[in-house]
Amino acid sequence: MDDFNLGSGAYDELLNLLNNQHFTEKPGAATDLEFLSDDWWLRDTAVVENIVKRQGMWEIQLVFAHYRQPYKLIKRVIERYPSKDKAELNARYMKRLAAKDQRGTLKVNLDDFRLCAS
Amino acid sequence: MADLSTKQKILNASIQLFNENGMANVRLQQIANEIGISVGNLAYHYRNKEAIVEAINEDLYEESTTILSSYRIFPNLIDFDHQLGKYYDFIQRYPFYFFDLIEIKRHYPEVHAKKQVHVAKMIQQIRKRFDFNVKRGLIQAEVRPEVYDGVAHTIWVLITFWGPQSLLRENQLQASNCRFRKMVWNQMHPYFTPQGITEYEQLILPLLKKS
Repeated sequence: MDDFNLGSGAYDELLNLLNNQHFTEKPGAATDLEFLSDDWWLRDTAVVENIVKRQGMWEIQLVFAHYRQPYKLIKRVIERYPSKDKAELNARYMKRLAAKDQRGTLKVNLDDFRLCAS
Repeated sequence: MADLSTKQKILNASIQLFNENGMANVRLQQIANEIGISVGNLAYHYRNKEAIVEAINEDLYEESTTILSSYRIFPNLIDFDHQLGKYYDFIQRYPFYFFDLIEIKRHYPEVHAKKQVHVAKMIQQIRKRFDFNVKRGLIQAEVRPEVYDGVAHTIWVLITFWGPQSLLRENQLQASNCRFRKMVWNQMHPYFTPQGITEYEQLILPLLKKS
């Protein structure tokens, strides 16, 4: 089999990319790591799976809510499946993977929402 | 394993004899004598000289691929100096590859064609080094189109014919790594900006004095 050879034009582009890398890649700033402290609260969140039908597909959304302050939450769309059963099964696996406490003892307490029923 | 080792012995002896006498002047008998085997045994491993040349060329192709891949490892002038050092080692180890350029072209067209792929890449790389350093402010912007294409070509000529010219002028391939690199740098020097001269004096000159 003949050896693969990069054409002259493609090689030219490759060299350009290597050259440009020096100018586009900058050293990281200290602020780049701020997400570590900003997202620290995610360690203490209860994970709630939510399955929503959207555009003919079942979408798995995971809601991460702080177990003491449930209004502090984020929602992430994880994946979409054509079947509801499949989505439910995978949502359970994903929830267990995402939760800090895999036994699921970190739960949001309804009282913490301070809802007024009257 | 024994086969491999004999094959390697044949290739090593061939390279040594090619370097000493030139490719055209080496016969299979000489290669066989060099490693103490019969021509029949040698022919069992390589049916003729063409097969040996092709096998050697495979190895040389691999080596020159490695040299070419050492592009833009350091983001400064040292990168080119580093690569020049590798080219020089290659020239020293396989002088026949440069002495017998015409012989290879005439008698081994496939080897020559494969070699051309690397030649084109080599010139392209040298040319791109100009672009890179223009962008870094070390080399002046090109005053006329294709000036740096010409300089890149000249540098390739210098690298490729360093061996033959050394043999012609001094009757042997002198160990002159420093002189070789200096000659190449001299081609680039007129195009340096003051910033380029500073970097050259700080990074490259000490290396050239050391070696």
